[in-house]
Amino acid sequence: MFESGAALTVGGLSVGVPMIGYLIGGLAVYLYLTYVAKHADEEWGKAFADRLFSAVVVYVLVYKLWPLVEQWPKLLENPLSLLLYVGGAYAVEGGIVLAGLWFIYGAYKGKWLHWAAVERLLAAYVLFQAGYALVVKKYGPPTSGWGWSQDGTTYLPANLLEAAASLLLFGLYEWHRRRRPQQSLERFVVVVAGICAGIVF
Amino acid sequence: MKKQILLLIALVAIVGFTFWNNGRQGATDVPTLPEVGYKAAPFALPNLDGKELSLASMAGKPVVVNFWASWCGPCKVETPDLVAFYEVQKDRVGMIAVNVTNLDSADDARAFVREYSVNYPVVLDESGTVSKLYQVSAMPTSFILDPQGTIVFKKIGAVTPAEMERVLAPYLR
Repeated sequence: MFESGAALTVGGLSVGVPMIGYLIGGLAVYLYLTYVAKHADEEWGKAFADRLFSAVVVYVLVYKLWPLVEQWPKLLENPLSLLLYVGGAYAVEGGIVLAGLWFIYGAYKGKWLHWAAVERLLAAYVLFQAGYALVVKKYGPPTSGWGWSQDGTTYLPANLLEAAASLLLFGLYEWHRRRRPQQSLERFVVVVAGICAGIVF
Repeated sequence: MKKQILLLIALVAIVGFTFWNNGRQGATDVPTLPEVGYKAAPFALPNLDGKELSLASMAGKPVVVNFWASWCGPCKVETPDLVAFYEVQKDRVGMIAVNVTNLDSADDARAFVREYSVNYPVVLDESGTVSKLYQVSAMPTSFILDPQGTIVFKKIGAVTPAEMERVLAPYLR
């Protein structure tokens, strides 16, 4: 596990630890979705995975190009300067909305806009969280026990707790899904409750 | 099956409670780290006149800490925006521009400040100690601190005026 401000540097290339966390989380989700689609022999599952990753690309593009929206006068004054910006005040929200619309449009067009897809999206989110938390250190409150040390104080390893909670939730989801492959309202509620608990606490 | 579902809900509740309880115990005692949600590390560095300027001297108001170098393209693009922002908000927002002098030079930093009419405090990090402390891996890197010194925003890359206004709005009301 690594400090979130650290970076992996190879020659002139420097990749920040959060980016490595996103890549690990994304890889875990990709492997999971392709595995499920293959073993459940679901045509929609493959389309779901493809659309999800193309939605991520849409998000990245929107985030990078957002200065065109927020700083459009610079397009007339000094258009090349816009290449030196990324993001903006509402770039994250803009990216999420457009990527979400792209994903929903694909689901609607491919006729897989149903609760099973929503449930799988939530499970993918939980797995992504687990992958990220296993890479990037996060400090909790001080503790007298074992944890991450910083300036002589030991803190609860919050990212490890998050990873354990996420993996537990994902494991429960997957265990139940294998027992009852059909979409289930109870399972959906449990995953939503788990995610809400993670966000709130 | 209902029992299994109840068991799942109970497990989720236990995990949630653990996080909630942990979060409550030390909400005010956060470590010093250069990331959002943590305390910003204190530092003091000489300004362009050689006088020492500390982060602590700006306590009580939100502070923008900007790491930059004179050769960095995005730094050149964002500086006029920072100057315009500081001109309007200097009474309510603190700002320190830390020149990463170990990867730049004091003379180039001074020339940059003259060229862009920089109106906010600029300090020189000649040993690179502070940029290392803040784990600055690319420039510009900006941090926005709330009046209590907690980092509420971090960005690697040029900051836009709209971004600063959005982050600082709760502290400027």
